[in-house]
Amino acid sequence: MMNRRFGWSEFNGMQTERIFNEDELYRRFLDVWLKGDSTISSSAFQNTSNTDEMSVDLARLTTPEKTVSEYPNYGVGSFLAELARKLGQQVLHDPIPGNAAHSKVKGNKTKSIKKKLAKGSTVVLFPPK
Amino acid sequence: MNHPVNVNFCVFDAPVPTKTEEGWKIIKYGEESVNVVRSGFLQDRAMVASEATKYEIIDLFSTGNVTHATSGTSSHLNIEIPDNTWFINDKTRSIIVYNHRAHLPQEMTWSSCIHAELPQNSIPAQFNQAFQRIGRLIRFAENWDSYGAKSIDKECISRGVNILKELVKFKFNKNIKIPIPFVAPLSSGGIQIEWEEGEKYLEISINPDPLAVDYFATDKAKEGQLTLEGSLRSMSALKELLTWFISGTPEGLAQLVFEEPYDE
Repeated sequence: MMNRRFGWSEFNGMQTERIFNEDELYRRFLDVWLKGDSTISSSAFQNTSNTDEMSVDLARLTTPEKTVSEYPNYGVGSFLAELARKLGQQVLHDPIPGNAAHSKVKGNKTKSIKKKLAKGSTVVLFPPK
Repeated sequence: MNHPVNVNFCVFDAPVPTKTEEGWKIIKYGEESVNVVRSGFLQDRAMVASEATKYEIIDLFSTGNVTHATSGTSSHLNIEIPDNTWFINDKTRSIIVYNHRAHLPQEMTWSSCIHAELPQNSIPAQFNQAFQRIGRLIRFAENWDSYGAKSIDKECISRGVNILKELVKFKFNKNIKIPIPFVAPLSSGGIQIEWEEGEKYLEISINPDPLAVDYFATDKAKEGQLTLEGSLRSMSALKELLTWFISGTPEGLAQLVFEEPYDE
């Protein structure tokens, strides 16, 4: 059946999904990135070293708890795919073994972009103290 | 019976243990002179390190409290390190800090003498938090963020500490109220120091390989979002940025021009 989740495809034997603008993305963050006013520092929105990609999870395929299930010291921030796209980023579903929700926000992250991602994010799960 | 004594820091006239056990150790740092130590003269140098936590601590710029108790003989020492921050020294450009309560082993036979005096400088308690945060970063090893981050570069930490120290001096000298910055690690192995209030935002990032200090400032004007970014070439430029942050307008941000030559 075709529904709004159309656009399935296969990559490396794993099904990939189209990510819509209204989709929420989860980004893990450490307590060192949580500011006193409970907002997240822009430093939490960096590309993985030596890449132009930042890992996130597609919220509708996971939960905040699952996102940090292997990372007990982390919290989870959430932002809309639309925000990343407005900032010139590509948002792609990129499932990996053990994490079907894994996605990536691809593109150069200038200071301004990182700050806007931070400002557009909300904490959905606080890291343990 | 041991008598706990509160002092701000101490220097130990003791040889570095040849073999360190897991746990804390205190070692002498800097020039060594028995007479100097016994006469009470201090070089403001002391060092606290932990094999277990990989602090490489260094020296004191300033504050910190150590509660110590001697056993009554000069060969035994027991130290409790409280939560307060310790601090640095310009000469080493190395770091400090811990924020955990730690206990030295009960028996430490390698320490033969202890001396202490009040610090020459003190850091406002709120700034201590920022220093403490920087100090924590030295323990961040490869992949500390689980996304493949580099370990935090010591030079970046030193530079960050020096910047904060300059700001403390600036605060005192000008008697102005500098907001306490937030300090965060960067996956590049650098650190970020940031201030934010309403729409105003100022960020200093210090990155390694090669060491580079950049700034990014943004504010909301009638015409839209204004941003200013570039390489931070001098402390005076940072002070101008901070002055803007504290009392400037969005238009003031647009008018900032830095032409100073690079300095440390």
